[in-house]
Amino acid sequence: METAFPQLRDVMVVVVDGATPELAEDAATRLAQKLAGDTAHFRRVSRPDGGEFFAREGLLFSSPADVASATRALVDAQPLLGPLAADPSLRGVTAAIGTMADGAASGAVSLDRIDQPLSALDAASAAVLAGRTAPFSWQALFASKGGALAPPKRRLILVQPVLDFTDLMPGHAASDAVRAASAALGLDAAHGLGVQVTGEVPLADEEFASIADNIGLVAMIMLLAMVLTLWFAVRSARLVAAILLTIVLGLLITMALGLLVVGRFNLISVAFIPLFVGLGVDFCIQICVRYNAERADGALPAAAMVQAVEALERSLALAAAAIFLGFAAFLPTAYVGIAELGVIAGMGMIVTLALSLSLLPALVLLFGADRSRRDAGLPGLAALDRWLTRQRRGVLWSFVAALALSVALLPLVGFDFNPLHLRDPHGAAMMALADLTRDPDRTPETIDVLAASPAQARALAARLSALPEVSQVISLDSFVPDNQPPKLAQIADAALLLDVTLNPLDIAPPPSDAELIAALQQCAAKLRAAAGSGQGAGARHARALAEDFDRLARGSAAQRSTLSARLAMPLGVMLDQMRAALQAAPVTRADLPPELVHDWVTADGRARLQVFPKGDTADNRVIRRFRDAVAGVTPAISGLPVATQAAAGTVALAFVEAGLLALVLVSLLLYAMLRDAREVLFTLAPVVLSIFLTLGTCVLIGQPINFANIIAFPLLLGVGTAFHIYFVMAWRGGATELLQSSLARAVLFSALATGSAFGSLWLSHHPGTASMGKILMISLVWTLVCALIFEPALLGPPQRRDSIKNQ
Amino acid sequence: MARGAGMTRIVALCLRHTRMTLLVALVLALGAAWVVTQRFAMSTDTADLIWRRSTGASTSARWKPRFRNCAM
Repeated sequence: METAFPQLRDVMVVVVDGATPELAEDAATRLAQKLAGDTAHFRRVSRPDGGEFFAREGLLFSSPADVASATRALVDAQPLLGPLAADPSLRGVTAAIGTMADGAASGAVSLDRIDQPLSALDAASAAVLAGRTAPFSWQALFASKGGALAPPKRRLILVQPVLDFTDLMPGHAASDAVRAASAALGLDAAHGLGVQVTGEVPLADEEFASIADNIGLVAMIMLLAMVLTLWFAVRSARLVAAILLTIVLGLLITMALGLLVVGRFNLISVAFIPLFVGLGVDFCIQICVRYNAERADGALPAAAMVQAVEALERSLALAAAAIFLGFAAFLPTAYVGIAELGVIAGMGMIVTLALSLSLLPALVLLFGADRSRRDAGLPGLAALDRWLTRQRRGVLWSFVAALALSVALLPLVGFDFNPLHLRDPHGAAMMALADLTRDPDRTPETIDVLAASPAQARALAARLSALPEVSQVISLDSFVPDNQPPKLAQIADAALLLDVTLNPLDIAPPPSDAELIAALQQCAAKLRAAAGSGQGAGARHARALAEDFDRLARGSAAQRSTLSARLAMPLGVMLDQMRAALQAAPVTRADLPPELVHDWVTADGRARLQVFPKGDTADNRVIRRFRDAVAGVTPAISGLPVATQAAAGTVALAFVEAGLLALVLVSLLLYAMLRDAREVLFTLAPVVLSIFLTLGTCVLIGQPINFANIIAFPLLLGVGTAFHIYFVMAWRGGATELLQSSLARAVLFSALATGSAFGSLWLSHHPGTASMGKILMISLVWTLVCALIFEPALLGPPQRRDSIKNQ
Repeated sequence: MARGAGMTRIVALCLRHTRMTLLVALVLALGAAWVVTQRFAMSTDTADLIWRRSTGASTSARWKPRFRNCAM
């Protein structure tokens, strides 16, 4: 679709809202002209709801009844329109009002019938006298009886910005240019106008901006949490410094390798950072905590380091290999985001293991030895250790019950893969989008269909329109109004009657101030005469307007000039629109403007259809049914609902495939190394359990899985597998009182460091990032619970008692 | 259970040649920093998460919100 219609990609929508239809139209016209002149920032500027074609043929898109009502309203307004067209100034307005007042005074017309213009002009005059801004709308005045001539107070400009891909926010300069142009033209609240920018480019830019919004605070909290937890783990500033340097270098190398191998990061693969830090911290903590334990046993620094690695090398190697396979399992899936993450994180696994065994020991030695510490383990957990031994069955049954509950909740796990839901709803572009999409005709949740020919497009449009899930189908044919003859006849009749009125031979020159004073006084006198002592609304407003006009005549020239400008600008806009609308001519496909045709039909004859959903477009179920219904008619579809559904399917399938493959690969690896199916089960069962518990928790707290937070699951797999391998390896080596060991200390602080550091992402203003922090925190809590409570209970008494104690 | 991958020997070697290890690490750090500054690229297109660019099969179904039909 993008190849066929390249002008539809990278679109920016400028939304112009005016207090009146005239203000909106005038502002949109001026802004579009200014933007079109700025070729440094904009490649294409168009007005989808404006331009010559729609100004001339717009009435034809209404029903015959609406056209009749609109033309009747124009003809009825003829007495007022004539003087206004001949003298489009405050003087012309007073002349028109004066003529109506004369009519009322002579009894030809009741003042109540002309109450509406009287009260509107009274309000506008009073506002000028009070120094307030109160835009005036002639269109609102004339269109009150006929809906078809009530143009919207919102106008759109579509622009294709020049994107600067060297900037992380490529459309930022163009968005700024729109704002600067708006400011230069005075399109602001003080002038009854508002300009917003949305569309895919500003939304993407804003996403970066919201991620970067409080990133400084989040990063500081992350670092602080990491340093504090590391310090509690190893109780040595030197070891903390050595670990942090190792992690930073590893991160840098992995980033470079990732760029060399994959070429670029994406929104998911960039999550290798938490994965790397999580696993890197784990390896470093394991080595340093064990190093402390060896030091506590009296070993010298170098010897302690060698002994620590000697004790851990099998566990670390097995954990690294298992995690590497876990990440590799994502490679064959169709979900590129996570497949690339798998490549980068897998390489990171090798880097972190290599640095933990080379740079970390060298830095520890370089920074010098601390005094040996006694608290290398977690002696405070002795009671828990004993309780677990006593209550093993109860603990296991509790976890079985929790697992059963989580499995029961599994069907309720929400998957929300709508990328718009990851963005900050308070961002300017998102608010503009939300505002825009309140109008069902402007929802982004539409499906584009590419038909091979206009004939096929017509056939498809007919079939799609018949679907109950579809509200309307737009194609190039939609721009050829239906039932034109009666509407054209009505317009021609009105044009005949109004031609001389709207196109006077002479237009009066702008009045002088003295002429304005005289006109105001003359009109005030006529209004008083017409109102007399009448008590109706028309009489009251006539007297009030007469009073306003007298005060304006006595007031300053600036006040008169202000009122004149407020009435004249919208008057000019309205008269131009009326003149154009009354020139409507028959429209066939051949008469459509080339730029409009270009947006709907390619040069080789392929045609685009835009299908709109029926119902609440914010409801994912409505959109899913809509997508399925359209896909049932034709497979050649694209658009947000299609991509979202396809993404959900692809992602879900990718995770199932990768999960099963990872399970098989890691099981085979563990079996090859451990040669014991029961130990393989003991290693992987807690990982699976923690995944189910995390999903169950998501259901209970109402957190759906999305594109961002789904990356918690690879981390859960990696860190969880490593923790359980450590415990199973220690257990098979005959370790007892696991919770008091240096291993438990390392696992506890490793999880706390990763959990607290990445849990702080929860504070991000970007909803996607915040949900990622939330799920990372929850998954690490469950991983820790499974590692420290479930795993020891599952393992029970050690298999062999002739080996290492307190590994 | 097979033996470890000679990790202890690697650690012992690095501890014996601390300065050389740190020098290698420094060179790696500089090289990595150079690569990152020269080649950093990141796609923010959500569609890139789902379909492989190389296949080209998906171009008709990539996510691009539309804001057309404003004329109606």
